Amino acid sequence: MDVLNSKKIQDGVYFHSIIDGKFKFNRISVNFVVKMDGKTASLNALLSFLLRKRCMQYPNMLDLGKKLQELYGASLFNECRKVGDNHLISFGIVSLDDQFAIDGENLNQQASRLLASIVFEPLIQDGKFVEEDVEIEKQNLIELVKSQYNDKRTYSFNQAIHTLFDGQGYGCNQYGDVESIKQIENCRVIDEYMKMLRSAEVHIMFTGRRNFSDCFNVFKKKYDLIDRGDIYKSNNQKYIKQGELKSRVEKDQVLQSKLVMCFASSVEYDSKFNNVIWVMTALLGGTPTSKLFVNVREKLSLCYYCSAQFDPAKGLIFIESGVENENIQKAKTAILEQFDDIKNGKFTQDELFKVVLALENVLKAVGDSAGAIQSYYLSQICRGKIEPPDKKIESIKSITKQDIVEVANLFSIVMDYTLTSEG
Amino acid sequence: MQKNVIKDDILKESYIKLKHKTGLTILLYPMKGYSTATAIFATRYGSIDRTFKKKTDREFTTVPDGIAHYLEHKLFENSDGVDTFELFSKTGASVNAFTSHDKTAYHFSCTNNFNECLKILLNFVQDPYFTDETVQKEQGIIGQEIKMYEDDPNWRVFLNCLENMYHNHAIRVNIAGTVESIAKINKDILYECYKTFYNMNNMVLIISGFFDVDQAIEIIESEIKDSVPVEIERKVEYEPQNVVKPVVRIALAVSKPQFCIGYKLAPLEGIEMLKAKFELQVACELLVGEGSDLYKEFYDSGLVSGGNVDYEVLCGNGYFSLCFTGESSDPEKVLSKINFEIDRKLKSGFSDEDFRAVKNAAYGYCMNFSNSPKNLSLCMLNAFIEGYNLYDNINIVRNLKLDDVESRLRSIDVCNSTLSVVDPI
Repeated sequence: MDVLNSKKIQDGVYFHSIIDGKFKFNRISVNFVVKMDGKTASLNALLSFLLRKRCMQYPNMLDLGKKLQELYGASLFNECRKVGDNHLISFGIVSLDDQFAIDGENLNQQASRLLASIVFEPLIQDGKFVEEDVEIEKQNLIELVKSQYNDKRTYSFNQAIHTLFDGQGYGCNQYGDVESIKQIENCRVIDEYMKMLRSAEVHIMFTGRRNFSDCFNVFKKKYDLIDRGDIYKSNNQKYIKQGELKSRVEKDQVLQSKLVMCFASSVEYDSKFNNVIWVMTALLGGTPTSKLFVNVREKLSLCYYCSAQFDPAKGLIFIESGVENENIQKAKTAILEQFDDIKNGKFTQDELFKVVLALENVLKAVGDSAGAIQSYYLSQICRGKIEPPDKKIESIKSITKQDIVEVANLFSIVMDYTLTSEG
Repeated sequence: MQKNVIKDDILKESYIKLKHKTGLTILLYPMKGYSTATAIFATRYGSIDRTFKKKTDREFTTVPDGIAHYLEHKLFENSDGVDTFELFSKTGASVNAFTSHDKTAYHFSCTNNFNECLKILLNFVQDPYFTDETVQKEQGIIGQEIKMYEDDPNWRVFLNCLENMYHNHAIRVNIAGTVESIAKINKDILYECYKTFYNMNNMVLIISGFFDVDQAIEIIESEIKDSVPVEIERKVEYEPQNVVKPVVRIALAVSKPQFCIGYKLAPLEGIEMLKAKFELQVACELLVGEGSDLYKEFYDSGLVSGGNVDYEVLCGNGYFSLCFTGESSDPEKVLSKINFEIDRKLKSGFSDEDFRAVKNAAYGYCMNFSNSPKNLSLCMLNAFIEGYNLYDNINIVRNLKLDDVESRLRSIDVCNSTLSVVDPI
């Protein structure tokens, strides 16, 4: 994989590229980083869908749809993600490279221009977004937020975070909440859009098979016209354990109960330990040979899934499991025992070696997917430290058993969420 | 081994197809510039293969539902007591498996130790080891997997649609079976199914990405056990043309009704099935895709959440159907709108301009096969199971004709559909 090449376009606006001749598709994304905030989360999410709908170049949404079909089924996407305390609003296009066009069309340039029009040339009437568009997208966004309830695993995960971080940015849904979406007034949307263009930290990413100068020039020209100021800088506050364990049981008509357990450190620690915590979490529940998979799923046959993940931005470890109602307590006890075993050094050097090998595999594979490359670097950019996959591999290879035990002992349970059946 | 090189002149790419003396098909697709290699060892054996016999058998055997999937879980245990995940963990590879209606596949992806991984894959799939005790134990995990899917509205709405479209065909049965059906599974039935369907003559090995072709062939030659090719007869139950029930509804903990509309069509085979599949996909994109009138109507009216109706052509041995899925407060109205639009387009036809745009899009989706070694391997697997070569689909799309798409649309009988709905509790 080529190295990440980054250029500054404007204050707080960066263009990053990775060129690799093996790709048949080019992927361009424009990523706005703003503060995750209950007051603006819904507005920013709404903006993301409004902009995706149509633009000056294609004021009719059917024409936009047909254009995407003509561009060999180019995929135009908008995404809202939460990265720690930051809200990441992304727009992107994935399109076939010119070389594979049947009639020799210039797909790359058309894709760049189309994306630029979507982001920078929204359809504005009388200084506002089209009223009808705003109302339809508000309704669609409300339905999207409500539909998160359909997937009980994701729903439980969100509920656990919401409970632990009630009223804080990290506790917000990436699409906002139903009440604040309902209250959005059209006049505020354009203000928020202008604020996003002027003040958000912006990362434009290009991953593809050839020279990106066309794409760079298209976005550079757009940003040359924007007066930037009061620029946001992505940042994160690690969660430090305070007070008692928070516990929440929610009842619903489900056949399988969902558990979400959240762990945090009670003392501040340096971010240089993030790689050690990542490896420790994988040893606990990140691979099919991890402690949770082998012992809680396989040996005890308690659940179909039981896994752990680390969020380095907030310094939190999450364990999720789907278990039979009557086995909830048994599963919780077994999960905590496995974590205790790591804290007490009850794992072998060989187990550690295998986890590092598995993670090395994951890191080496990042360069094989344009989407994975962008996602890998964007998360790191939002956390303020770029570490290419090969450097990260070097770092995890040097981790010792003692390092693992030390970081494991920093963590203890702070949140315990259960979704279980009524009655 | 018998060797063919399959080429595509426009893509300027090729892959190698080999036939082993055991009957095993081997497909090798080296990809320049990639760090990952993916291998899939798969059998033409899925949940629909519940009544079968070897050509040498007198009688057909019917086995409990969910057995192909159960077998997939159990193959990960080995006679020496070492778990397959444990073996792969020494290589760093990620390994997994899946069972669908018509196939079971075991696969790994690795960036190191490819040769070692390939040996492990070939060995564990060829080395079944079941005891009554281990078979019994798996019921807990699979039971939880079944329950997890029973809470999943997307899966339930789809499964209910199939159940109410098909009277007898095993496509109507849950891939994992039921808690009751898997309770009937024992080691003898597992061995019987294994011996029938895990014969190399019924299997394929696909490797793509970063690997050395000669070394891979050497390993395959040394690790594939000798076996006599078995020919399998699969019994497809008589299936009436009409659907079982036009409407089926259940209630689950969801925010808004989820729907799946299934149109039952006449089954097809081989390249004709593939051609029909693409023609229908293009017809569906023209009907409900992002550039269609119906999409705009659904979007503007709010009848379908986000205006998005997804479609899927589901076809295989003895079944062919077309499903539309989405979320709507009034699924009956969605059905009537889609039926009306099919009828309208049958009368007016599609425009040349719209057809050209959608044909371009279909070509782009086909090209997507090569965006990762894993994706490529999965596309090759689907092609093998459905009986064609990887590049056939690109060629079919390149040669798609508007007349053929319109004729295919006529094969949809709008009166022969099932509307499956999952309502909020």
